[in-house]
Amino acid sequence: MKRNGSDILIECLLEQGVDTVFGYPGGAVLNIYDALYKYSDRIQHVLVAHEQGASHAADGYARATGKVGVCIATSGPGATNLVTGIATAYMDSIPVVAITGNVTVPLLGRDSFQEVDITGITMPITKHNFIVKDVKDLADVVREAFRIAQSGRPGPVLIDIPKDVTAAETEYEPVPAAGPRPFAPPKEERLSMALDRLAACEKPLIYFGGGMISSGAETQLLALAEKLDIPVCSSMMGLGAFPPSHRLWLGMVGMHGTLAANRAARECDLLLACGARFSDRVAGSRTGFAPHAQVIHVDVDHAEFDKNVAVDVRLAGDLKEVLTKLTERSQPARHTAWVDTIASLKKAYTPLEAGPETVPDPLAILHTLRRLTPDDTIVATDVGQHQMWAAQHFELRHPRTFLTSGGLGTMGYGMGAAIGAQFAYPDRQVILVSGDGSFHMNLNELTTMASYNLPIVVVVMNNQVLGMVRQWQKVFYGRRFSATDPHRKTDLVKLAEAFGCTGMRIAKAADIEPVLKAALDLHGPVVVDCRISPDVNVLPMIPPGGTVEEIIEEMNE
Amino acid sequence: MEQPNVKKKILSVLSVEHSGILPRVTGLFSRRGFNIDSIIACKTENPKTARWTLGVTGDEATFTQLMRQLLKLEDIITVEALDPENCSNSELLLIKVKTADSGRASVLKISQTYGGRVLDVGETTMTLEMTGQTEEIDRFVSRMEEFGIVELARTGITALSRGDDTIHMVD
Repeated sequence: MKRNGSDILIECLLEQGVDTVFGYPGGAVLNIYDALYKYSDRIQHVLVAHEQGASHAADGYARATGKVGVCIATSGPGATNLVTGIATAYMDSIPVVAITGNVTVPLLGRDSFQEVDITGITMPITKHNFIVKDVKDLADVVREAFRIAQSGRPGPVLIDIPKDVTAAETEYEPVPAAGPRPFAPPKEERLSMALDRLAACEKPLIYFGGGMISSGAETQLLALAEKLDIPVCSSMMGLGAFPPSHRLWLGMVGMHGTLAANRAARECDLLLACGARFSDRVAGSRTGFAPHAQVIHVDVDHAEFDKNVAVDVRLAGDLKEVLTKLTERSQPARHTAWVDTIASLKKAYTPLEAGPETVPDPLAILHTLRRLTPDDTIVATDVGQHQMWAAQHFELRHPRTFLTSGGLGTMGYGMGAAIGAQFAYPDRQVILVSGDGSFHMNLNELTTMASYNLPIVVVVMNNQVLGMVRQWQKVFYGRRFSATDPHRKTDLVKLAEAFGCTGMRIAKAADIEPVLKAALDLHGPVVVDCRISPDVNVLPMIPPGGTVEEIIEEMNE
Repeated sequence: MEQPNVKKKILSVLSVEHSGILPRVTGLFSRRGFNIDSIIACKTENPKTARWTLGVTGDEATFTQLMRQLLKLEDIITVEALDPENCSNSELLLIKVKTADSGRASVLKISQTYGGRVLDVGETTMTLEMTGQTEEIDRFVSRMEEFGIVELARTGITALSRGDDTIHMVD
């Protein structure tokens, strides 16, 4: 049956099981929006305030569910506004399909109104991208885009569709979703090499990253760690995939990781790296990270082997399958002395002494929030000090509950991500932990929260400064606080109310619990302005390029 | 500065044939800081595929990383590293040389020795064509310097594996 390009696009989204898309209309996507109007009973379109919000929402939706997130923008500025969100998804390997309109095919290449070469622009930040110049290719391109986004190491794919293609007609036949390409099985010889090393080591350590979440291999990870008695740490991207109260859990590793995890990496004689990429925020010094260890690297992406750190065993494959095989074929082991030594470095959180009038402590806010919220609460963050505090102190108990821009470090990411997650799970508690710097970047999406009455609790760690950069200025730039003390006059409570949300304030330690309770009980969009001190630092801290030997555990204001 | 372990290699790459792939390949090289000495793309015996021959200088780790990154591009089918010493390879040179002052006979003679061919003769110049391995062409070009090179163009290296092997066999 003959259908136009816009109908075919929506039909293909339905083939892939898409029920929610995030976007913003415009001239080049008018036909697509006309189809969305027609299909509104089968596919929900969420209107955001700015296309960047749509790209982060699609990303947050994907991180929370594991499904492909979808965003739509018009040509030109609509398309370029997606770029930061696409790059964010690319750096963290998140499956997103971004759909952009473009000018009609005859107008392409003539600097037409709202024309931009978005496939050229997004080439380095997508797994792949397409421009569809013939409606006959459209259905297969959409199917292929979903397949690429989900296969192997996931990532964003962009489809650019000129306006005349969205109007042109062709035959359409539905095709069931093909799903991701199957993983190649791990090589037996490499599995044996890994098993030999696992059996021979005395001080093993598991370090995992976001690949553990993508693969959904948390059960297999726990089984292997327990059977072989191996302590476990993760990058920020892996948080939530290992039970935080487990005796083998050491916490986050890297620049703001725990002493225990970083010390373990320094001293281990075997490092089993799983779905992690030895980023410079983990392996600050590429030669000083796990210097005494045989390194087994399990990853689905061959290009990660030896990219940052030279490894001894390259074990390509899906983590679920590899970890299952390693567990099945290993004898149980005990590394009691090693585990005890390393675990003794773990530090429990002790609340600061606080009188009722004391300035609220951000860590106390996060611990209280954790206590007041269900285990499956989803936390989105922006980027900066508050992000690190959340990673360190909001104990994550399930995979896909921590939505944070790890690779790109996108300030302003969290607002859209929280919205995406709340649409994926309308009945779960979603919290955005932000800072006043990041919050100012994309606070326009408060309007989306209010329009859809999303019960997101936005907790702004408001220290009135750009805290993380300021912290670096303290440590490395002789306290010359260049451009990190913006003297903003924004009243966040009034601001929230102006947008149609509720505004609340935590001004002193005694406010923390009652205000957070009230915010959570509201079941509506709310911003909590937490007036914290500008002098709280993120600790511990390993200076860039350094190792645990240079770890900073205490700092003067 | 001469670095140890740095050598020249030839990457033979098979890709899907379409116009959009050139920037994907060159963009990958530039953003990851890999240096390309030469690059050639052409159609192949199969209308759906294109062959790329890339001359690259680097160490072993760079080649490995480069090949793995290339293979991640959706449009790349296979990548093979060829050792310049152990493959069939050639490049084409076009060179316009000054032939005033009775130099013409000498230019022709040297050109014949190198298997060159005259493409065009002007009033004061001669344009020659020569194919051969890179070093052979380098030597020929340096011989022409004494007469005065007006301009030259080289295609860069193109190569196939030796014997009955083909890139299709590489997995």
